[in-house]
Amino acid sequence: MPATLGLSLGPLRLLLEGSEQWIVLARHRYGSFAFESSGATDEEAFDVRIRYRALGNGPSTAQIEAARATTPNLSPDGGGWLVQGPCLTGRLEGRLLHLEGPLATFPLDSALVALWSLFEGDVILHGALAVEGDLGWLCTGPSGVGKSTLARLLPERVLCDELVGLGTPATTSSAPFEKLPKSRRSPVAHSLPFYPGRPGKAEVVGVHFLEHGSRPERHRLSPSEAFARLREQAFWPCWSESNLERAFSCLAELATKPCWRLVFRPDPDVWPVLSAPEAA
Amino acid sequence: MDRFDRCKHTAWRRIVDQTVIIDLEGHMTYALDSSGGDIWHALDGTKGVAEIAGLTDLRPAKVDAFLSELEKRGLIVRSSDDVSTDGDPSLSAPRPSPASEEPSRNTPQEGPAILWSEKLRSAAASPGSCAFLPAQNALCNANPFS
Repeated sequence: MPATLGLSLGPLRLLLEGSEQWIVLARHRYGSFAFESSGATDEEAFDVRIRYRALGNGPSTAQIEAARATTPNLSPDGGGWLVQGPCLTGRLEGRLLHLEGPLATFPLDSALVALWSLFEGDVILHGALAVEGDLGWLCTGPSGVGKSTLARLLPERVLCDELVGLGTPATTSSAPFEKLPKSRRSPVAHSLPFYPGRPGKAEVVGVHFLEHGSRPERHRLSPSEAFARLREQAFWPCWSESNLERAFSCLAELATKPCWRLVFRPDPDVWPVLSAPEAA
Repeated sequence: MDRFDRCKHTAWRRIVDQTVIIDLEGHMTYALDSSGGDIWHALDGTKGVAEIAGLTDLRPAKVDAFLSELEKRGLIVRSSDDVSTDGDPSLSAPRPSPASEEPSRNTPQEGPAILWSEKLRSAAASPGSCAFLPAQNALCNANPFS
């Protein structure tokens, strides 16, 4: 009987199955996003089951270096999907994903990005998610721009500091995106467990493109400028045209929200500027 | 008379003064200026250069050149009165020339124009996010078995 662990990526519920050692690593890795499945294997309780077969005693240096260079790719294969990467191989059929890789969780991390787009959301964005109640602000930019710094400055406000999953309530609607009422097209952001963070979601009311500076201030961007920046921080699901189109719609909608260049210094005084209403 | 239509493997959105297009097959994205967007939105497989020029208030020569550029990039198809395509624009779509990985910028003084074009960064080829680099912090480095 394999060990199991439940994992939630926003609304996507996963059941991880593997050796005792691997499940210990998974629990350690995903922190508060994991939940005990109580041995439940009910197909209805989880969206996807992931059976991980760990090979060997741990990743080699070569495998770690290979994983730095690229992430797994999805390709359609006879009704399912093949998952292939330098440290990982697998196959997704229906709601069951078989994976093989080293005794580590980082191969699973990148497979989870693909699962998000296939099963639940529209696109994953490189960014932090700051929230107040049900309202959220995406704080994005390339590595080193200050997402983790922001999380350390505002630990009660920032749910995660690396990857955010975006979806619209109408993701599973059969109606064309453009015909949906505006209220159903507003993106919802979900925090994802890369790295330690807290589960949560919020309706996105603004987007900040972070910059270092001497004092907190923000500068409004036009939607076209915002889209040009957003597309650089998105993990586009290029394995599927329909997924790609959904990602595009989501980001185009996001670009119409108030988008700003947010300049800040390592001080919590950034919060009033970050969360100020649009007209402020 | 040649008529023009958007290829079926494209998706697009007008974002204020720009029209952004995604080539779903070639995994490229483009932004058209306002005039270019007007031309793009006028394409429906029934109109030729003269009619599009009239609708967009642009000179026919500029429209013709712009359409040729879009066609070269595999975003539109041309159908002639002399050639049957069975109403399926995707059948005659020319493949674009090899896409450059480097973004290209073109900011002419007047349109219509492609403002920029760039290859989409797929989740499968995404460098730089430290989320995918193992052992990035103390939590990852800690040995849970110790």
